[in-house]
Amino acid sequence: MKRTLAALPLIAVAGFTHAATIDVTVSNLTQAITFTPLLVTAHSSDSYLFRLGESASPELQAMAEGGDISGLNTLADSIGAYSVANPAEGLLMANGSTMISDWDTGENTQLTIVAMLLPTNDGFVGLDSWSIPETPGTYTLYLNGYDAGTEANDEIINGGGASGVPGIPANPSGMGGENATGVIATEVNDRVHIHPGNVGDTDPDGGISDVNSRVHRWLNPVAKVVVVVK
Amino acid sequence: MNKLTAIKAAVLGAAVLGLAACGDDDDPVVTTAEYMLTVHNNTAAQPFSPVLAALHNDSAMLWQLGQPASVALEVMAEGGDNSQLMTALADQYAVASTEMVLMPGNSNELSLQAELKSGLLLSVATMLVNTNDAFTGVMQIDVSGLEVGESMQLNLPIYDAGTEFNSEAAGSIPGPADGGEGYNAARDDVADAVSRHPGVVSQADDADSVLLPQHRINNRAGSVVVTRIN
Repeated sequence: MKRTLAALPLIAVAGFTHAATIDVTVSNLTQAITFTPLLVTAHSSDSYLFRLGESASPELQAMAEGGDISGLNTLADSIGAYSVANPAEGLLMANGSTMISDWDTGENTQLTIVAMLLPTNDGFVGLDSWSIPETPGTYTLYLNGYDAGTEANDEIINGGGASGVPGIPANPSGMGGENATGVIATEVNDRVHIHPGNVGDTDPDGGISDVNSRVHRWLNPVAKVVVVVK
Repeated sequence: MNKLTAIKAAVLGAAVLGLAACGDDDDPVVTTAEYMLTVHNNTAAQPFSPVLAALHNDSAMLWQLGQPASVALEVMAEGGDNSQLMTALADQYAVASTEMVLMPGNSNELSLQAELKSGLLLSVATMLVNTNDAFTGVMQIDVSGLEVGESMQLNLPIYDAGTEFNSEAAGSIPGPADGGEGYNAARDDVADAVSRHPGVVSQADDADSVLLPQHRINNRAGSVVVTRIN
């Protein structure tokens, strides 16, 4: 059983049916990385949308490569999850935050959050199946940047956002480049893993990367999530 | 005091405690606890050397931030060879190692058992082999409070042993990215002290590096899930 709270002994909870009303605030902590529309979903412990060390589903791939959360949202609906799709109503820019208020998660016990990181090839910010506490209070989580393991991190901004199409679909924060030759040609790890980060370069008209090495790198965590259990 | 000395002192301390326990006829029940460890490598391209895990008392300390590494830790952190750490911990409650390298995206299991007592501590250590002297692990985690069937997840931060300069030069890295040297007795790092790792530079920023963008690391390398199974 996977738990996302570090270093805390956690009691396995069976038959937990407490209905919760929560506020969820997601903040983009990066300097210049943009989050595509977020999917925030509460679901049972029987299912999950992604997991470190496992292959990405086609739905996760579509989100991670192109920012398309429709497939994951449909998947979540099919397992009885309660979801809030696109709470920021569009991109969540660096230093921005978005809040979901008075959200009834029903009897769903696990919280999952995903959004693509731009400009990356298949990077995403993720929270996998965090157990929503029963005890009212304010809980703060920090999320890492993950790599879906589905596309080579070539760092070429070419509009390629469809699954299986190389390249980065967009760079909303600007300050990038064009005509890059590519950082790497193959995906080195085909399972979901911790993103090794953007490389970038300082050449706006060529070089190995269309990403700016002085602007579009990041260190984890990339997002802060505050959950208020009421 | 170097770490090996510390470990020996711990062993002596344990022997004294053992003698004291022999004189106590009122100790009615001895419970043997068994723990299953699942170690996850969530890096993009950093294989873990065979993973060492130990159950021990509070005097055994595999490393200490800000203090010089023991030779045993140095041998593991530079070359992936945990045999000296195994020897140093041999008189502790339990020590074990996986046989194989743990590749990125994969997980491996280890089991340990020991007499249950308060202050029963767990430590885990392994090298990130495509580096000069990076390692990851957890130190002195109290597992005595886990009930049978309970789990805890521990994140794996990335440390620098402080025993080898992070040249990333060809011939200096034992992993498959280079196939170079492992342990070398010279201590030529910027400080002879264990610290959090400053990260991999790679060829993206340094033409003299033998490492590639995918060998870069972020805040953690993976996780260990500890489950008490008996």
